[in-house]
Amino acid sequence: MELLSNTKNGLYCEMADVYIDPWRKVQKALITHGHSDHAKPGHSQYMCHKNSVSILKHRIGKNIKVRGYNFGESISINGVKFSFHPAGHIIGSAQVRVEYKGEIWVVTGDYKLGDDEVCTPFEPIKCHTLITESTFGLPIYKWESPGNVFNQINQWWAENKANKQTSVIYAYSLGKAQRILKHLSKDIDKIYAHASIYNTNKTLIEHGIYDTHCEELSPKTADLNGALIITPQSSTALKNINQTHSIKTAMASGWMATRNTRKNRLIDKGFVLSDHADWDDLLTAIASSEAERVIVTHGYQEAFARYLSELGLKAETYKTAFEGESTLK
Amino acid sequence: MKAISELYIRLEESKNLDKKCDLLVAYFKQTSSEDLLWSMSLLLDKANKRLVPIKTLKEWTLAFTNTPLWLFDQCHPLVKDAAETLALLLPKSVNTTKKPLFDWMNNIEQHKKSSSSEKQTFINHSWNVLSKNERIVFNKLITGNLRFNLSQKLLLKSLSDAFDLAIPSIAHRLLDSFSPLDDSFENWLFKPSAKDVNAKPYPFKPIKKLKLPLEKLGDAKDWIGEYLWEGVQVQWIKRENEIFIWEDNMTLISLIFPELLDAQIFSGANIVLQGTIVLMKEDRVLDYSQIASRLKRKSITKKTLSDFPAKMLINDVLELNGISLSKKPWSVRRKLLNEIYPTLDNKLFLLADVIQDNLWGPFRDAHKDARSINASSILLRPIGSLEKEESPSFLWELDGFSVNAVLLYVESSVDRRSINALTFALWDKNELIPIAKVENHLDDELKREIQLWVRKNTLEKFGPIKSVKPFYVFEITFENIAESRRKKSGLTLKYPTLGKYLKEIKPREAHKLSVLKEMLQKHIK
Ligand SMILES: [Zn+2]
Ligand SMILES: [Zn+2]
Repeated sequence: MELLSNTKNGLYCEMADVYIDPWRKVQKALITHGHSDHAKPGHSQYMCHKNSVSILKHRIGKNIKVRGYNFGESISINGVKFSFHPAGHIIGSAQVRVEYKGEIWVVTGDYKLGDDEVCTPFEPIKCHTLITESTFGLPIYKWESPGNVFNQINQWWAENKANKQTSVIYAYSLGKAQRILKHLSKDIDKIYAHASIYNTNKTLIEHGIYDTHCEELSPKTADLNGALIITPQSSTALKNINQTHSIKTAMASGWMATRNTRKNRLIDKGFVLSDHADWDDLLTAIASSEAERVIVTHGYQEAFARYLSELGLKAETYKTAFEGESTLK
Repeated sequence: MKAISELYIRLEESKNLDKKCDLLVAYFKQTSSEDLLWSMSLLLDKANKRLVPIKTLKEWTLAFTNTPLWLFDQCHPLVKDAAETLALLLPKSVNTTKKPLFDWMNNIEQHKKSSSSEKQTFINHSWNVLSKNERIVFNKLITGNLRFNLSQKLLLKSLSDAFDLAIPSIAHRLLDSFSPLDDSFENWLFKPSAKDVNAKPYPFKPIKKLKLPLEKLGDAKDWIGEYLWEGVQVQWIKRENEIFIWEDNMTLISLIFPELLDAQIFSGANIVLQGTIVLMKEDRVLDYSQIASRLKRKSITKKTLSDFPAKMLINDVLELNGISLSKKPWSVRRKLLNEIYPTLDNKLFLLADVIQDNLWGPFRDAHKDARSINASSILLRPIGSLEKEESPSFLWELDGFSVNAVLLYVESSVDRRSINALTFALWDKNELIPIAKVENHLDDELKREIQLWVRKNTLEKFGPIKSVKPFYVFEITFENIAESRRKKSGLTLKYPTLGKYLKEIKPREAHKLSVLKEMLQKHIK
């Protein structure tokens, strides 16, 4: 019996009877971070890093049963030792380390290397088996320095402002939005966030885990010339603004790395900014874990695992719920 | 290389022409004159800098980056563009060089004759000092795949804005071949040439649409009528044995119609003819869509020339033997036309028959017959009209109607490979109300564009019919309009057909349903 296995409910530790980021309702769930593909509603008991507690309550429900832990704090369940370690993905994001009788597994969850100045930076954890994500697990994905990207964003805003246009950036309400807001130029005097982002920020600020304030975009916000709006793409609020203001739209995402994806979205500008590790960083993270065995999930797992095998590593894949539950036993 | 690469990416990202023009003007103003002529040859897609086929570049990239072929095959479909995929596979760029464009172009030129391994070394070294976007442009350039696809009109406008020059006198410079290796930008753009004067067209005068009843024009005998066809309104200029063809939007389109460029066509000296170029098949004028697709071509093949030959229907002569005829009345110019016509090649030039009578009746008959011969309107000119003076000519349009409508539904063919029919709608407040379903007469290119677009912009599906986001605006022409209680719009259009794709018109600016309702009201009265 393996320490962790892939089941129809998700990643499972039979020895301790707990799941990690399960996609179906379970008793005990260890959650790597608050994104909805990792933190599903309906579990009886949630365990996560302490900075994820308020996020989970905000997104799933006030009354869920959740307990937060410090990074490195050891949780012992039926002789299995679990602990959370920084993943550098978003606020509260963690890798899960699992140890039993000297055998160590690490589940990375989503992660990126480098310091984004919003969350605790990734820390490599030595292990025997590493379960890694591979969202950008192809060699065409190589990020340029985030500092450059923020300069591009600030410049883009300045250009739009000079043309009396409103800049709109589409970004996830948890993670990307906070990161961009934090790095916007001080010259941008009018910054508005869509309600879903504004409310997330409010929760984070109240809990002392985020510090960049901005105003909420409301239908009453009159003067948007030269302003910058940050919003999830699904927002309908934009429809009204579009009728009264000339807007320029941009998306900040790792997917913007190719001309083809930029062209296919109905946006004016694409910024290559990701909270996931790029190709080089995935390889760096795997090397620094010193794992003998790598299990690839969440992304281009087939290609990435094949590449790792060709490098001489023992690599295999797990499928997640989204890619084909039917193939699971 | 840096500036031209940024320009390439940003031009591709900007969706409107003004923005593209601004980018070009800024580029022209910032770029050193040593780089400018090379830039022009790139912007005009005239520089052939192919060093290696893309297949070889792929082999070299895979070797350089230690990438297995199967991994390239995984990436390529996501990026779509092979040169870009190869650029993205390279290690992150660290040190980039400021080496100017002309240096790069000279280097590339020098390596055309190098051995394969010298080329490979040059390319590997180049990658090491180029940024991500530069590598994309560089890879395209050295594989002969770099295309800016800019219209002459846009380039001319940008050049004229940046350097304060008049479009008519610089246009010919874009068509002629030039060599950045032996020439300078200053020479190319600013050195006066005989052509600056020879190529110059007369202003194209807009013709008013006839909105009054015919009788209001006065006596029929004072007017001459002529059919006009759907085609390109042009001035055909022959001066000093060279021919220039101008479109009425001030684009020099000589190269699009090579059949009309032979100086032997007209044996006389300098002449300026005005008229319409049409494409013909067995004496029948073809639809506008045919000539529109020829205008988009960069090079005209022999097959196009023989399948759909172009002819010019002459309406006017503006200059003869170097003397401007603008002071002569139309009757005199028409007489001159009759005299010159036999000296022109009658396979290429046609002189429209005139409609002349003491009564308006025959004019009306001609107007009624117009559609049967594919004419688009009748041009009415007062016999005494001078080219430059007020007494205006009129465009008497056919009794058809048209509206600018938004594409709402797309119906696929049974095999899902093609489009069967398109349903168009007009605005009623914030709602789009369907007004006409038309057959698909799109040219292949546009059809493919729309099919791709539909895939990503479908809102709902009902069997083979998909509803799509408001985006495409087309002219819908129809012959008549009637009331219809059964339809949501309250009216029905007779013989609706798909007109031009109105790229410049935003969906929000398409017509309102009230426009049709007004037409209906007027028509019933
Ligand atoms: Zn995530
Ligand atoms: Zn995720």
